[in-house]
Amino acid sequence: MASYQLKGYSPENKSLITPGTVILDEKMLLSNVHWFISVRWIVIIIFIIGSTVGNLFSVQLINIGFKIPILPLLGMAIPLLLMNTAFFLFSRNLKVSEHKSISINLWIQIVIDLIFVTCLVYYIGATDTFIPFIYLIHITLSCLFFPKHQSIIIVCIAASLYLLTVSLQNTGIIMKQTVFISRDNIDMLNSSVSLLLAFTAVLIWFIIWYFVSTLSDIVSERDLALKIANEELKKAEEEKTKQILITTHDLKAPFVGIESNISVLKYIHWEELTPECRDIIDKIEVRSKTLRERIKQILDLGNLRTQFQNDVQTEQISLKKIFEEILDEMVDMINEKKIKLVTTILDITVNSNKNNLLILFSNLISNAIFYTQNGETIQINMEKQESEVIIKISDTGIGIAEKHLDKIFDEYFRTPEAARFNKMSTGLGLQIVKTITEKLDLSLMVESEINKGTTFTVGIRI
Amino acid sequence: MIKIKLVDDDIEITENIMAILGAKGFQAEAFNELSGAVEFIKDGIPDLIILDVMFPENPAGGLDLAREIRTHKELEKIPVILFTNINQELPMEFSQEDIDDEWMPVQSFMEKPIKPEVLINKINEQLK
Repeated sequence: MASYQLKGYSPENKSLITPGTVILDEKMLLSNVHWFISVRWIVIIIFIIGSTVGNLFSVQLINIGFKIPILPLLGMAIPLLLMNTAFFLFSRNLKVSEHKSISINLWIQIVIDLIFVTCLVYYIGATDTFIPFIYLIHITLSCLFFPKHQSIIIVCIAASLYLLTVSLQNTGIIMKQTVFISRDNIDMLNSSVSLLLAFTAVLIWFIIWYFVSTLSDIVSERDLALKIANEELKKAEEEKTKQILITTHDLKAPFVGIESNISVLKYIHWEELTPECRDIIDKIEVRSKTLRERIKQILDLGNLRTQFQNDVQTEQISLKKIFEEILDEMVDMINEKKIKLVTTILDITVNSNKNNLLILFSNLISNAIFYTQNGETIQINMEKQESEVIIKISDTGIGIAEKHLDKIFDEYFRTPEAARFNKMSTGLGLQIVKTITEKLDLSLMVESEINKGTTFTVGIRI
Repeated sequence: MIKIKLVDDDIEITENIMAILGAKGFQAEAFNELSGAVEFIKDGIPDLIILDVMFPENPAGGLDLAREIRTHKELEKIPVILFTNINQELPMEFSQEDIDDEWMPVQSFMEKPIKPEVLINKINEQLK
């Protein structure tokens, strides 16, 4: 027996993006808060490794002219560790909607980082190494995180901290530090030269800030324009779908009237009509029911597709009641075809969407009825497993050829056998089943053998 | 003779139901508007009431009417059947399951289009 299983479905969280004046949306800002904290753990580890290496290989390092500031590195690692733990704990409670709190958190993190960067720059060598350019990490990141008027403040804070350090060194208030041991390197630069170098470095920061923040603004503006255009497209698409649904509703109502009239005609005046008239009325009724069914399926599919994943409301549902309701509705069809129905329906409750489950199982059961010969058997079996309920709907109908199994869930696809056997088929039923399966994150498998029958297996997590 | 009153804005539907009920020996009367429906029902208390749900002036008018009927002492014990197209008009799945004293205070629920045998069975069930 051939079988086909739908691939697993992992729905994306679709949320509407509200255009605003921020450079990054809240979701992105919050992810940056977490990213900053992760990077800081790495920096703390580097500080600890640095001080350990400096301690273990001090002689070798001195021989090649370097001295690692072991105590300052450890002295920075410990408060950084405590602060990062605090940031980590605080950021866990931050929600995407709290834009102000996220922004403040990022600001505090950057300012504290700048203080530690200044300490690092001081101990490595504020003017006789390239370490001052480490400030550029925070400068460029702030250009990406914040608007221009805010990122310039970060540059100013960095410049102030750096120039203050250099000035304090040059005036002798704090001792000059460097990783170079050779006195020549240190003595090579006098105060005015080192201050000139410091100002040059700061000037380069400002130039880089200007270019990065300008580019970031351009990218952000385009990003925002794209988001707005995307929103407009979504709204237009929703409006179009709404109009189609309204039109489809309006199309459907007359068929209810036509069928009601035919019912009355059959109930009261049937005996007065000639066989030819009865034949024509039967044909009208079949056509009307087919069209109504097709419109219903277009509506179901349209409604399912316009429904966002987050809008699918779930509740505790009794599967027994769902099947009772469906079988009550289909009792006429079952009796008409003299179908033997064998059921094992358990009283199990699942957390799911009632309407969607009703539509899904109605489609599978009505398919089983349609494609089974008169007097044959349909089985509905429910089995409770460890974490899910397995529902099998089996018929002894016309079956599906192996080459068609992977196509039966495609919109408007009908196997040639199905099209011949059931002229009322719309080719939408299994597309609806597939859409609901994906929406409710269910498992679905079909096994079939031509002329022997088909079994659809649905798995619902308990 | 058993008297049944219908309230439905669709004249074609009420005419059809009246024809079916008449053929089965019931005395049926219809009213096609929501306003004045309570007075119509009270004017010659029926044995059973059939109500539509959706009316042009109020999409849930039938439910409001069912609740109002329950507030009238002379009508409170009369069985009410909701006969509606609401599941076809809106993406909803109303059913017998949704019947309760507060929100849907009726005895039975059935969907359009008319299925004469089902309708007669439901009526007989309520009249027992």
